Amino acid sequence: MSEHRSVSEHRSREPRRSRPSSWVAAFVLLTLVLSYWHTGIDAGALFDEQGWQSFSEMLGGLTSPDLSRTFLARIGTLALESLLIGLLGTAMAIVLAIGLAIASARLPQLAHDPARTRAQTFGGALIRACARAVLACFRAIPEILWAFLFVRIFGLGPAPAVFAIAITFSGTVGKLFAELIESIDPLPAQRLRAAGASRVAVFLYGVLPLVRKQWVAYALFRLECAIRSASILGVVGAGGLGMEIDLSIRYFQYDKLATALLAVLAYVLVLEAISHVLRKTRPLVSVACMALGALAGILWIRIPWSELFNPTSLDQLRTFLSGFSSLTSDGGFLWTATKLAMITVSMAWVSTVVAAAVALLLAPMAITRFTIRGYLQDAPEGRGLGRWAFLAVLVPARTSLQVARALPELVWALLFILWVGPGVTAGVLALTVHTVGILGRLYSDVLEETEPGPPRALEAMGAGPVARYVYGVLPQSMPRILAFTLFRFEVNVRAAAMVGFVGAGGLGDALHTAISLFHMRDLASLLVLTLCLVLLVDTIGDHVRARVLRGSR
Amino acid sequence: MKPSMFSLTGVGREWGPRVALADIDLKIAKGERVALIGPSGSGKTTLLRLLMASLQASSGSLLVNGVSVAEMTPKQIRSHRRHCGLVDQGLQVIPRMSVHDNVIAGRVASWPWWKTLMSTLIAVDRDDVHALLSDVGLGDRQWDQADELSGGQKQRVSIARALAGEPVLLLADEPTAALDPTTASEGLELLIAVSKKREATLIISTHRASQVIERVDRVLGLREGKLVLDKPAANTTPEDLDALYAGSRERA
Repeated sequence: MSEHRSVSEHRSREPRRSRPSSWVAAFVLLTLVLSYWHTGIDAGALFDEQGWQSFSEMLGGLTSPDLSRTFLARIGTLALESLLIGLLGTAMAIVLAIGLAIASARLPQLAHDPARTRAQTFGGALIRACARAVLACFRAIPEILWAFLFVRIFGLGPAPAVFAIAITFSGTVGKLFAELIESIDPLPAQRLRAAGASRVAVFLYGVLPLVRKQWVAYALFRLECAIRSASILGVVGAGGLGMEIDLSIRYFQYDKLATALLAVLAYVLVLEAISHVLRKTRPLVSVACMALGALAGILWIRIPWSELFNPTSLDQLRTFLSGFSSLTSDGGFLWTATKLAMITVSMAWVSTVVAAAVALLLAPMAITRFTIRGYLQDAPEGRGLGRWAFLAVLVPARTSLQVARALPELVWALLFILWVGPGVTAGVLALTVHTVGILGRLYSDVLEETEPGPPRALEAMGAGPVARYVYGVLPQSMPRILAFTLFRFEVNVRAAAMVGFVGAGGLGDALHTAISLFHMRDLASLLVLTLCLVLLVDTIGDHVRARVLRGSR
Repeated sequence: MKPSMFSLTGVGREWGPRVALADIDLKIAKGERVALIGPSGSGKTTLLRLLMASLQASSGSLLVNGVSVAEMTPKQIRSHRRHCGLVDQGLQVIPRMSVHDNVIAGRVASWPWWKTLMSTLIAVDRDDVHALLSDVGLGDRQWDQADELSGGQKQRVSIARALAGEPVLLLADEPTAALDPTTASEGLELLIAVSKKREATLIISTHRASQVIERVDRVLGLREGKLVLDKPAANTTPEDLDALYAGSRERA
């Protein structure tokens, strides 16, 4: 009797039946449905007969790639060109980034330094603000847009891609370099200042030695990303492998397309293998490789510097800048552009959420611990085929993640446009597939690093893979998985603006039209809007991620 | 004579060149309460892992209810593991989960996967879990975070989790190692009580023999991987224990 009462007493204090996780799930589901409806995705297009036919023609091409010697030589040259674009672009980005980082970071000061005038303090703050604004612009605008802009100035060829990479990557690299400067131990620099050292000396002896290692590591990491990105900028005519993909799709040469796609795949995989090897050597070796590569790039890619300053391009620049002075004059256009920006966010959200769900499913399948080895060391395996059946899960899961990740969003976008036609649907599909690859990889890294205790204990009590995953592994890795997913959403907002460039909906479509038709005023408005959108999403994302990770501790 | 649950003949286990267990002959009957004692490194954990079929024997044969583990299918192995409740000193609670979920984790093994997934969205089996937690004196902590509990309370959670799967065999690996003497003795008391209530076979491994012996039926002593003591608890003398621990730095 008394026990019975204690149960009912307990009931009154008990929290509601639904759990916090179900609220999160409901929220995600609701926003997913709203965004889906908002973007106007047409999933039915996937089953459209005509689309399916052209897509299967493309698949048919995949079975018989063009392996003639002349074409392979061309593909090889283009791959080399992509590589050099990436190397030279990054080298230029790093030079730019160092300058911008020094200008935008606050070097350690002495407290109440009498030698420092108010004008100096104010001037320093002004310079920092300007440098930060420049970094933000560089970072927020996708490289494909820069590439296309430069194509319009220089004409077709690899030079625009080099500039696009130099600018975009100097934005991200510069921001991180500046953050690293601001997080150093200020004491050495302060001592130098107290001894009357100049700004240059303070930087060289008080700051650089402390950040050098991290700078090199991050620059090399970004180099890999840049080389990967260089393989695709050609779809707007900016040289490298992307150019061949664009051309072969345009002329329906699916055998050539197949070769180009395989080349991109091989390019990315080889790049990963090389960077894996280089990461084991001293960073100096990689830096030397990069310097040599950049030098080769300068020799190979003749950058038409004079074009930058000839009267026509200067004139175009003037029209472009004058677009900014008359931004808001067309209210109707601005409203259309804002709607496009919202659709871009929705596209990013739908694809991130769907991709996260798929990746959560695929990631454990791609891990040997889950599928083959198990968490118990040297346990009795049991007789029969059951154990081998899991190999049939591991291999497809790994392969599909690898391919999804290796082909860039833009390539997926081009392929899906063949299937479902141009528009938002193709863009969302492309983003989703690529994000599955990226998140799947990140998730499986997180899952492999989890504390093995809980899943091991569950396995010892006979729990199957799902139970081990849901109760043993996910609870401890959830904060990091959420943080990665949110970060990917931020990246996808930018990427969603990018896939539009090849005709897959959103802001990118409008940007492409504006640049193609030289509507400089529209272009200026769209750029400002893209900038605001990306900065807004980044700021919100930073806060949310910090909270998610803090809550985990 | 009750039917034997475990029957070991010449069971040994090596880790590379190191011999963890050698030539163990042993029968354990259903419903027995056994203390497994010996200095650390004497092979207690290895023996428990062999019994749970979470480790392969290097030699000899191990029968569970008359079936050899080496002959079992994966399905049979999992079914045997499901009948084992494990109280592991290494893992008292799964961090970042509520007490409720920690107990449920002991039950998910026997659920179909969709029920496991559903249980993360809707709290299932709440009354069962509450009853289990009341058994171990934690009825009012069901919805708290497991990390916030004290050491003794965490151990109680792990006992409740071991019971959640309705085990026929309860295994406790050094259940009291991390606890102070009073809490440790309460924990042991609780283990004995719940195993009696459920008529489950109980095997407690510990290097602190004195706390356990008066509470069990039978004492097994391991020393350097060999079974050197096997007596009813009532007949175990302090001399037996001294012989077991002789030369080792730990005392019973």
